Amino acid sequence: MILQFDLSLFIEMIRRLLLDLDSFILLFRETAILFAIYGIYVLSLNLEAGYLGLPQFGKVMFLALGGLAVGGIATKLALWIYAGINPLENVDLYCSTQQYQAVAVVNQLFAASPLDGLAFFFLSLVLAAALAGVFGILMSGPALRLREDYLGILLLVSAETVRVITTYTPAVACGVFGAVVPDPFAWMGRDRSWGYLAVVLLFLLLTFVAMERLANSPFGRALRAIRDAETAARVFGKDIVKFRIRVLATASALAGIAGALLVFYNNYINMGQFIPLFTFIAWAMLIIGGMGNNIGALTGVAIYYALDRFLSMYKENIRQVVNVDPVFFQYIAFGVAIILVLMFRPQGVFGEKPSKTLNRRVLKRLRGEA
Amino acid sequence: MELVLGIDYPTLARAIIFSNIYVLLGLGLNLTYITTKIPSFAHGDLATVGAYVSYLTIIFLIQPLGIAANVYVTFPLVALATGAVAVLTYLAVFRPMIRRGASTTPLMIASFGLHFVMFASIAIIADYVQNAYGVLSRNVLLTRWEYIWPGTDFLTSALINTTIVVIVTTVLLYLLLYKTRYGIIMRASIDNLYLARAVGINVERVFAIAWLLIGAVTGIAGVYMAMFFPMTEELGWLRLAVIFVVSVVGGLSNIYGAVLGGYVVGLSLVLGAAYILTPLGVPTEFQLVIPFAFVIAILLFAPQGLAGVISSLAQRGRR
Repeated sequence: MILQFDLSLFIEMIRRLLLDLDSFILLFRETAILFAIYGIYVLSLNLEAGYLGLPQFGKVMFLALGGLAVGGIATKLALWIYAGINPLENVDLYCSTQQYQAVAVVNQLFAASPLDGLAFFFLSLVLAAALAGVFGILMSGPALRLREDYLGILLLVSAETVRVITTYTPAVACGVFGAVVPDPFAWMGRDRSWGYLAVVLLFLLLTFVAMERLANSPFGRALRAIRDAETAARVFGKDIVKFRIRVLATASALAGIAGALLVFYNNYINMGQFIPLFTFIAWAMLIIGGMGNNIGALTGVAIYYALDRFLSMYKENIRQVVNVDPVFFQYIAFGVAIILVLMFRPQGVFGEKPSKTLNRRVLKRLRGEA
Repeated sequence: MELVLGIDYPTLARAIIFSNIYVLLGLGLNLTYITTKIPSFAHGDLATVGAYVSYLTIIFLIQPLGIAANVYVTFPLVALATGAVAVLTYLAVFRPMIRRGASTTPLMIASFGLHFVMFASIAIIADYVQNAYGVLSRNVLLTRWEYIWPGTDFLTSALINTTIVVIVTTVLLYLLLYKTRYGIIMRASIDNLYLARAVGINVERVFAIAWLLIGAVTGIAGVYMAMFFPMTEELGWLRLAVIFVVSVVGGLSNIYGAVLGGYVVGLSLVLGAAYILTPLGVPTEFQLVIPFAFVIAILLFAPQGLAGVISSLAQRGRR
């Protein structure tokens, strides 16, 4: 009798543990997807802010433009090609009632044909990178002329302008309703989330490798030189205008890709979501992790999400101690962390490292030959 | 009541009231810029602090006494409390960072961290007050505690009162800066920091007192903001971009540029929405685009702001 009782208790325990494990794995998966997307976003900010020293306070604009390219342009193209629907004919009707059914039709098609889905996915990414990149080049005009503080304000205000215009123009992405986006990975069926995790991790890896190569190349060293001593860099014949334009275009295009990936994660976009907060969260991650260091940038993202998930797990316990929304303690923790890091460890968790050059032995051999 | 140009009175009154509020907010931001060389992202939160101090004072201190409450009774406390918060932010965050030689971008990011702290602290207090005392602490309007002049309605009274506050503030600021010894010291510190230090002025103490002024002016502006926008912890933060626009349009490094910028932005925002956007069939949500377009144009063509343009024109005229 006692044995039986114990056994049932034991089974119950195992069952609970498995349930816990299940929900834990689920939480881990969703966090990992967001980590990868924000990783790309913060790496692109690191290129501008960390390596070139640009006060990019309008970063969210490029995330928004990437999202817009998917939700506003690619989705319309897909509907037109695959379902023969033109949403622009009657925007109000489409946004309020038709869009769910219309997108479902396209999703069915993608579920049957992975090739079409992937074509749509890559077309979207190219559009996102192009749109954000072009805006980045546009922004390099003022970036060359204005002082740091004015440039920061200009970028912030431009980002707000883009948000206000796109949010209240229904033809862009269904305005305040938000637009549903076809799922290019519908063919993955039930494994969609795991598949998508693999996709975003792949993109993160590609971005990281590219950024590391860039940072340790002559190009990356020139960027640091421009940041630290603009006049000296100019004396050595570095064309500062060209460097800034290239960096803004690259970083903006990358942020656009991050925006597109974010939209495909939710399969939904609402332009109103791109508030300045997301610019500053990226800055907070970068500052805490370490500016001018790609590993530091990713560490910052990881610290942010670790703290975020940790606090949300203990939400109820905190609520029992003080009856206020625990999310505000998270804000305070982050605010204090930013200030303390800036004050006592301006280089972040991982400071900037001297850029990698050739191996010492290789250098010696080269010198010997020369 | 129809006035010239077909502008109706309520719209015009709102336009002037908003301009007055933006003037006060811009004055604070320009003083911030002058003392720390950055436009602070935590500026909007100072306004929120002012609004909440006023509201909580009315609820917890004045109403229990049974006195007919209005916001003006709370003004001394609002000015003191918000001023104290502002001085604290200067002493705890900006001064140590400036001493360590932090440049513009890190200081701006630090002010953003400060925004996080202030914003969340206000939210926690609001949550706590609501849960512990059952007092409504969000989406309140301070409208019903505005002093109403006999024979007028709320709009006219607010128009009169905000105008009086703007005039009093600018005149006091002028007297302080130009007619007192302290003002001379402050202007000297602003004009040439190193020279002021060299002649033995304690520049940091001067700036700390400037921050008291920043807090007081901004807190009072916050009280008026809460009469027109529902009071939440985001009251000031949501309008921060517009405050930046006010300061940049007027000219960041000129104290009175804010007066000019405030009226340009306030009038164009409200009147532009009513008389340009609505007839064209553009939704009024687009009204924010008007000042944003302004500031983008100003930054690209005259980064020193309107006040700078006017003063350089005046100099050219004198020659």
